[in-house]
Amino acid sequence: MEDIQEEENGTDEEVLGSSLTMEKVAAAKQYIENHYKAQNKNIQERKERRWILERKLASSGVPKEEQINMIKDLERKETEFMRLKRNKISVDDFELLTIIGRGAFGEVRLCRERKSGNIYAMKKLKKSEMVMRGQVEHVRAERNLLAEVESHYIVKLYYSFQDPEYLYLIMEYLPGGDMMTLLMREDTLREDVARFYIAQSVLAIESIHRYNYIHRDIKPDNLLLDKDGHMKLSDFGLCKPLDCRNLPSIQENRATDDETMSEPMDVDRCFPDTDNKRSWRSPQEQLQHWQMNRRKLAFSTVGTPDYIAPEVLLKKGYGMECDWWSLGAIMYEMLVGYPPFYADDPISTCRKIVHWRNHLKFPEDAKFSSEAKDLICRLLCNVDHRLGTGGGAQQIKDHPWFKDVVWEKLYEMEAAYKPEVNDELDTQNFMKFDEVNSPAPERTRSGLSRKMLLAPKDLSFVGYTYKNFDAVKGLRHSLEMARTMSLDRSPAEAMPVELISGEAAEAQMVSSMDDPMII
Amino acid sequence: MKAGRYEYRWADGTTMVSAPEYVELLMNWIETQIDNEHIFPKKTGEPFPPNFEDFVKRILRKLFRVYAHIYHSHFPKIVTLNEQAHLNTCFHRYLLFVSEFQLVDKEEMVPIQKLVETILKP
Repeated sequence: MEDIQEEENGTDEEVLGSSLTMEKVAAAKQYIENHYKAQNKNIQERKERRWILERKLASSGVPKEEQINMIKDLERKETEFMRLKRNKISVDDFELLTIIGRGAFGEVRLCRERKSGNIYAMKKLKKSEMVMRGQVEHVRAERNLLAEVESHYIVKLYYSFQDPEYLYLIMEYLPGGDMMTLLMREDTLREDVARFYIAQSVLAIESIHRYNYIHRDIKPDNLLLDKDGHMKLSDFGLCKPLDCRNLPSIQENRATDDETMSEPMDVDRCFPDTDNKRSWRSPQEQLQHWQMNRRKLAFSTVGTPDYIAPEVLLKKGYGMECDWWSLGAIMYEMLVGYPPFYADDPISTCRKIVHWRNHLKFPEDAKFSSEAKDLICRLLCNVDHRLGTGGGAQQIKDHPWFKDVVWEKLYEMEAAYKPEVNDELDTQNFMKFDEVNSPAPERTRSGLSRKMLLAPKDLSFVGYTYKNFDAVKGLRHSLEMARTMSLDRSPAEAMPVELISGEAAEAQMVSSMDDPMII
Repeated sequence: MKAGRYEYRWADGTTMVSAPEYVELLMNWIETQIDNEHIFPKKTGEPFPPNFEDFVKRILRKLFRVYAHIYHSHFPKIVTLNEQAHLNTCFHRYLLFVSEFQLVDKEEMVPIQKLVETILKP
């Protein structure tokens, strides 16, 4: 009798496996896998920090007593870090200050952590927009990369957390501004300045490629400058995303039609009476038009496709090489003054990029070296022949234009450009954004945080919370040494989560069912 | 909440509740414990209470009941949902941890004793 009832219940449960149940199952699995992966990573990193310090101390002439003190200080910091991780962090822990960036999914602003007084940049992303535009995987990838990569080429992530409406990234604030703002001020860069920043960009891109991460959307706004003028890669495509799905599919084999389609626009707009120049504005006109349009683009919440590789636009599958194309487009802009495939509207720009063979041109009066032109042409080309394809960053470093670059000292030497920064709250190197009146967000009481994560909207963002060891204050000295040693370490293999096979589980479960005491 | 022929009641035997209710009450209570800074201090240098271990034991003892309930009442469903590896991983770690530090009495584990013994067998 009881057995029959149990079977019926089982049948009902199987039939009633709703889609919400399946979503919760997937979220639970992801939560468990994230949890143990992060736990193993934390253990590994703690061991590594101690090993680095001990090795450093062993080879130094520090007295024995001070060595013991430094190890105890590290232990104290580890304890504080574990306590920090137990704290539920929220937006109320930060004092919100100036807005320094705004995009489709949210905004970036200066903020001060109330407890420590530290200044950070807070990136705030609206969950509903992320889900609606299919950006969940991108935001996860960004958070994962920033949490995993320890590099001084990449802006540092200190915390990530969420509330019902937003995701938050608390990041290093770099008061020097970004490459876009610098180019707006300077129009073009001297060749030695351009070489310095392109070289630093090579190191940054190499850094993320080492972790199998493809940026896909490298552009001047994503190249941030610290207070000394050194460059860090940031904003992994999320604040001003170019939604390629909104663009019509561009066919590679419709060159003739495209050429025909593009001509009338040019004739009507720019050259009503000059047949000879129908498809080519003069460099001066191109520069002036770009300068007028770029300020509008800077305040827009829609990204520009100017730096995106053709294989990305064609949606035919792409690899890490697409980031080197973007670097070539930025280099062209640094030296020429406007992007290589600039056009009046994004669709025309995309067409030019896809048909780059017909549209990659240099102004006749260009005043930079043949090596620079050669490098640009080897980056803005077919993916099979592009520098970096196959050979990676080293292929680019070997190019003659970088002959005099001392790669190991790029971040130690004085930067090619020194931004003006008056104090730690200075935002003069960023665009000025107006405040937008938004309704006060509903407060999240701690008792409800777990339940809210069960709402369907939040199942997509399981495992988002993160805290960085460097958020714990302590002796700068020992950390500086440890950090120096750990820079550029190769990525540690993530310890795999030990999962029991289904068969073993069933076997064990069967054996427990045989327990006579239970029956 | 049942685990085979055993039944767990809330408030140490005074209140009979369904399994979902029991789990909800338990998780809320555990969250309250962890958020309590007198038990789990957050501020730098603040010491743990002298009876900290008692709090931990109580939490882990009650958590065992959830595992017992799931294994007894829902394991076929778990297998249907292809989630048994995750469940087993969590329980393995839980069991090895409480066993290493002797945080849950053996008598408490009787409802799934066979499974426990299989895992702990050297």
